Formats: sequence, C-alpha cells, structure tokens
Amino acid sequence: MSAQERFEQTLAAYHDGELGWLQRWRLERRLRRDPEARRELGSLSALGDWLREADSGGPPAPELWDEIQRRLPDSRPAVGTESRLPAEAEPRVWLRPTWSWAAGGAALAAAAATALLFVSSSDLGGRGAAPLAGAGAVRWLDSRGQPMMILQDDREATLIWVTDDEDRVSGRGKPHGIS
Amino acid sequence: MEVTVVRISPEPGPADPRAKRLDRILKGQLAYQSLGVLAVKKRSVALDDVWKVNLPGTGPLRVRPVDIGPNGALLSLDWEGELQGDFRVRKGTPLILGGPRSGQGKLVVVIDTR
Repeated sequence: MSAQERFEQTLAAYHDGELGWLQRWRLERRLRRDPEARRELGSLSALGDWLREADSGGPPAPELWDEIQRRLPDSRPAVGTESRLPAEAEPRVWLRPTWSWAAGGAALAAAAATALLFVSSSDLGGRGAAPLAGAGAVRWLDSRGQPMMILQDDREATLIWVTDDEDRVSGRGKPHGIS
Repeated sequence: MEVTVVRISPEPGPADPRAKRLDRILKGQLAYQSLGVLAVKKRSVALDDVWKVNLPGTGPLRVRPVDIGPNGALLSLDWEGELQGDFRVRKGTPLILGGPRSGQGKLVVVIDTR
C-alpha cells in the first residue's frame, strides 16, 4: 500500500471517528498545514452532508409515528397507519416486478432465513486453482437471516440483493416460488 | 481493488455518468429513477490483509483476498449486519451487493479487482 493510500485510509478513519488520540493529533497537525489534505477531508464531509440531507427527506421512523399518533385526537385521520403502507402510498426502489426466475438462466437465487451456497472450485489461476468453466462467483454466502437474491451471476457481473422489512411489506422483491 | 459506493433512488434524477455500466446492469433488475456515486475507493490489498471500508448508514464492509491470480481474486467479505461470504471476483466482472436502505433509496456497493 502506498503512502497516499495509507493516508486516505487514515483520513477516512478520522472522518468516521475511529482514530485514537495520537493518530488524530498527528492528522490534525497535517490538516493544518496541508490544503490538499483539507480538501480531501472536505469531500468526505460533503458526502456525509449529502447523505444526512437524503436521510432527512424520508418518512419519520415508526417509533416517531407512534408518538405522533398518540398525541392526535381520535377524530383525526390515523397518519401513522398511512405511513405504514409504503408499497402503494409512495414509490420506492424495488426489484422490477417483471424480472423472472426462469428467464435468468445464469442467475442463482436464494431467499431463506439463512442462505448458504457453496461452489467447489476456482478459475482464478491462483494457487490451488482449478478451472471450472461456467461457474459463478459465489463460493459461499450467508445472509444472516435476511432473505436475499442472486439476481445475476455471469461473466458480466454478479449482483446480490439483500431485502429488508420494507421490501417484504411491499410484496415486491419476492421471488416467485420462494418464501 | 476498487470499491464504489452508490445510492439508487426512486426520486427522479440523472444517473451518474461515472457509473454507466453499473446503471445498465442494475436497470435490468431493479426499478429506480436516479443513481448517484457516493464514493470511489481504491486500495492495493495484499493476500490475507483486511481492507475495512466504512459505509454510510450501515455496517462497514471488510474485504480480505484469500487467493489472488492473474484473472482476479477470491475475496472473503463481511458486510456487517448484511451478509458474509467468499466470492471469486474476476477482473472486469464486478461483484455488486445491494439492499440496505439509504434515505428513500438503497445503498449499492460494487467491488472490482484490477
């Protein structure tokens, strides 16, 4: 790893609050005298701001809705109930309803409490490697109890998607024939 | 090794021109309106070294090459709270992992070897 790469890693760790006091002190000393380092840190901070802004645009967390609902008179519409209907109420990013299990010949798929896949060989040409024509990229995979799908696994790319509670509530992203 | 962090969203907007290929791949599988590149991180990672990549709004991604060859690398990945596994990542054939929520959208991580 080059000195620049080490510095970028240290800068990212500083940005994420992961440095000890000595490393932090050293980095802050460099930041004071190095405009380029300050610029790099600024780009990391700008990214964080962008994300915070994006997050603030989302609906309140369920706990907040519960609190709001408790304070509302009974005659008012149940705002909290509406907030729990994300599938029809507002657009989301989901799996295309049109994608098909059978159509994706190269696609493997799994959606289970814990999904594990194993492939026995490798064609990297590295040590211990043995050619395995047509095999996918996944040697083994554990989704830690979350349903997940391997949407694509061919020579163009391997695409693995972990679904969350919202996906499941919406009913989208649910592969045909797999619960 | 290169890790690209992307956010896709249902909010109308452009697709980042730096991620044209990714946009083409994702468009075939996912419905979204905009795609933004949040970060591109590059590192040389030696065999059995661990590269920890901090990701916004979710646990960090740890990448460890367990085999490196001329055509790619066998990577052991641990995305905290999301998934872990071993993946054979060929040069030019990216490994794309996605799903965690990011604002109104979803976070996507692309791992490529060079």
